[in-house]
Amino acid sequence: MNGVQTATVVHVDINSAFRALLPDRGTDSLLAVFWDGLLPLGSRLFTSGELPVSAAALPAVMAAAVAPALVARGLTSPEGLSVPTAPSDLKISVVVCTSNRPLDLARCLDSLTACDPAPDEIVIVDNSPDNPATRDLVMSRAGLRYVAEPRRGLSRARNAGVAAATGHFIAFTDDDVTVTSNWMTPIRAGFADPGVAVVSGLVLPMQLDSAAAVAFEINYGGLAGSFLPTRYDRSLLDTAFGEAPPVWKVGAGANMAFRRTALARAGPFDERLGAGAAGCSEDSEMVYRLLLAGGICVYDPAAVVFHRHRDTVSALRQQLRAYMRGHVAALFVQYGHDRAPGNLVRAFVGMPIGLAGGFVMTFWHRERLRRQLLPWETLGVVEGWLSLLRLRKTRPVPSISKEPP
Amino acid sequence: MTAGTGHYRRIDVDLADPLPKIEPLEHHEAGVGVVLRYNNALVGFELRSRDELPKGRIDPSTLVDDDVRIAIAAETIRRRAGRPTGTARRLSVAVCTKDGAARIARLLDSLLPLRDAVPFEVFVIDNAPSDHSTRDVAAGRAFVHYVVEPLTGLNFARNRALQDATGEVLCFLDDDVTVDAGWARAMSDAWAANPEAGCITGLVLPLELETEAQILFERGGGFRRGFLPLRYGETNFADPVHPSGAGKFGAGANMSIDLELVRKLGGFDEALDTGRPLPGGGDLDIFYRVLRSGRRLVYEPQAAVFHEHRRDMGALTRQYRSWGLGLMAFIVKTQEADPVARPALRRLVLWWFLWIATRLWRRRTGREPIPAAMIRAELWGGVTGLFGEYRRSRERSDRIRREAP
Repeated sequence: MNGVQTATVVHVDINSAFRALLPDRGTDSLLAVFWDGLLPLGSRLFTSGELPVSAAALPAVMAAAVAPALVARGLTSPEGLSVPTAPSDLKISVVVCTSNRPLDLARCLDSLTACDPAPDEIVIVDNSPDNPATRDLVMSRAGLRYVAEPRRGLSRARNAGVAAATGHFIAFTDDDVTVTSNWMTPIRAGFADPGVAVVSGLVLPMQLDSAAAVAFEINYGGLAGSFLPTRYDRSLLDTAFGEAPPVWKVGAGANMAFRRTALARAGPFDERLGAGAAGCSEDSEMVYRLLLAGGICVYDPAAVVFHRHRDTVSALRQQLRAYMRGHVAALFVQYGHDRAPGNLVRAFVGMPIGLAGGFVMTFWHRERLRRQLLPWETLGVVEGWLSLLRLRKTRPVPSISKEPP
Repeated sequence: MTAGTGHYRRIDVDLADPLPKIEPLEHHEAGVGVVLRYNNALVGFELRSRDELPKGRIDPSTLVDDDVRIAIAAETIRRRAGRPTGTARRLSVAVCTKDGAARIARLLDSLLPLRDAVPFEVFVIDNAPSDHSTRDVAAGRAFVHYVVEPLTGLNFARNRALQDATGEVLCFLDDDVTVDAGWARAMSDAWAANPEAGCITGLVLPLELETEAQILFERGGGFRRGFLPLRYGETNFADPVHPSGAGKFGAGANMSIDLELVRKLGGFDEALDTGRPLPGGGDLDIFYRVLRSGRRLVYEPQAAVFHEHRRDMGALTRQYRSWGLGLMAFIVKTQEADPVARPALRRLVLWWFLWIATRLWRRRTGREPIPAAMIRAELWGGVTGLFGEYRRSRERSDRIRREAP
C-alpha cells in the first residue's frame, strides 16, 4: 500500500519550535523539507498512514533525514554550518528562457528581483516573440533585459542568452521556476575555485497537489533532488564498459550556472537538443563536454529553486516522451564527442531493458499511472533512435564564442 | 569471509571520551566486536576479524565510517531538540521464560538500577516450569512479580502478562537478553514522543561473541536494524508489500506495546511462538496488526538490549529454520485474517523465495557469510510453514487450552 495521491509540501526549520505535520485538506500525504535557515538539509515523504506526525515525534524523523547532509558537509551538528562567500568583483548574469508563459514568468521574475544579493543582470530570452505578452511583461519592469530569439528551441534561446549576457558567470533558470532569495550566494561561492566550470543546485517541487506532479517528483525522481553536495570531475566519464557516464547527476538546467570562459571554449548549446528540438538534455550534454575538457562541476544543494511540475497526466506524458527522446538523442551526440561506447549501449540496450524492467515493476509496485506513462516513454525512446537519422545530417552550428569583457 | 577460530572481544567505546586505544588482540582472540557510543548514545557496531585489523593497538577512530558519522549527527540533532515534552506513560516490563533461572537473574540484575530513573514494574512469567528455580530467583527481588502460566507457549505467557500488567505500556524482553543502561529512559522518552505509536521496538546487539555460531550470526547482520530512529505507518511509499514484510520492524526480544490497544486487538496469537514445532512469527503478527489498526510503529535504537545468541551451530541452524517457519505461518494466518492483504502477501512469498535463492547463489560465489545449510534450513522451514503448519499449530493450541485444568 503506497498511500500517496497528492501531497502537501511543508518547510520545517530545524531550529524553530516544532509543530505537528498535517497535510492540507484535499491532499493525503506530506513532503517535509528540512532547512537550517536557507540551507536545505533533507526531506522526508510521509504517506497517509504515517500522518499526522506530532511535534514531539518530529525531532527523531528530522534527525534521520538531515544527518546524511550534515555529514556530507563535513559536520556532525548544524553548529558551524555557514554558506561560504566568494569574491564579488565578478559579475553573474541570470538568463531565463521563456516561451508563452507570462504568468509563470511573472512569478519567476518576482523571485529574481527579490534576490539578495541581487544578480548583476537579468536577461529574458523570448522564444515566442510573435506573442507580445512576454515582451510587455518584461518592459513593464525595471532592470531587465529583453532578447528576442524567434528561432524555436531552448538551445537556441540559451545561446542567444549567452551572447547577450555580459557576466563572467551565466546562471540559467526556467520560466516555470522560482528561486530562493540567496540563490546567488552558493553559486558565487562555487565559482571561487577557478577550475569550476558549472555550479548546479537543488530543484524542489513548488507543489505536489496533483497525481501528475507526485508521479514526476516521487516516482521519476524529480529534476535534481539530492541534499548531498558533490563535486564532479572528468572521472565521472570513466565508467565501466557498457555504462553511459551519468552526467544527469550533475543537475538540471533549471538551476545551473556556467563560467563564461568554459562555455566559450566548449562551444554553444547543441541546437539539435533541448525543448523545442529533440526534447531535453542540452544541459547534461554541455556538462559532458565541459567535463571532457577538464572542467569541474559542483552540485551544491544550497542553491535552491522551486519548480512547478506539470499538473495533468497528459502534460506529464508529453514531458516524459520529450525527456526520453532528448536523452537518447543526447547519448548519440555524446558518443560523437569521445566515442565512449557506453552512450550507445545505454541508448540501444540499457534504455529498452530499463523500460521493460519498469513495465514488470509496475505490476510488482501496482503503479497504474506509471503503466499508462510507459508507452509514451517508449515512444520517446523510439523517436530518439529515429533522431539519429537527422543528427547524422546536421552538425551543431557554432554561433557564439564571446570572451568576457 | 571466515570468522576463524576463537572468540571475539566485545568492547564498548565512547567516541566523545579522550580515546583510549584498544589493546592488541591476544593470541586466543580472533577479532573484536565494538559497540560505538557518542556521549553515551549508541551510534554503531563494528565487527572486525584479526585479518581486518592493524597489528598492535587499535585506534577506535579507525572504526568510524560514514554510517557512524550519520548516527552521531542524528543523535546531536535529537539532543539539541531536548527530551520530549509529551506525557510520560507508565511502563511495565514482562519477561517470559521457560526454565531459564540463570538468564532471568542476569536480566533482572541489569534492570534493577534503571528503575531509579524510570519507575516500572517487572513481571516474570514462568511458562509451564519444570522446577522452582525461576520462582526462587524472583522471590529474592522485591520489585518483581512472579506469575506462572501453566499453558505451554510463549504467546500464552505474553497474554498472561497482558492481563496482569497495570501500566499503559508493556515492554517485552526475552529472557536471554540484558538491557543497556539507557534502555528504560530511551523507551520511556520514545513513548512520550510518539503518543500515536502502538508499538515501539529497540536495537538488539550481541551480548557476547564467544562461539563460531555467535560470530557468524552477527556477520550475517544479526538482529540489528540500524542506528537511526525509524517510524512506520500503515502505508509506505518505498515498500510494495508493506506492512506485511514485518521482519524489518524489529524483534520480539525487545519490543513494547500499547496495552490498551493490544488488549483491544485481542492479544497475541497463541498459535504462533509456541516453541517447538512452531517457534516464531508472534512478533511479526503483532507488528502487522498494530500497523493495520492505523497506529504507528517506531524503532528506537537508543533502547538497546544485548542478546545472547545461540552458542552452537546446530541451535543456530534450528533458529534459521524457525524464522522461515514463523514468517510463513504468519503469512498463512494473515491470508485468512486480512483478505485485503492477499496480493501483497503473495508477492512477499515470491520475494522471499527469490531472496533465499539469491543468498544461496551469493554463498556459492563467496559473498554470503551464512552457510548454505542454514539458508536451506530457513527455506525448509518456510516450505513447512507454507503448507499447513499454522493450521496444525492452531489445533494444538486449542487442545492445550481445552486440556487445561
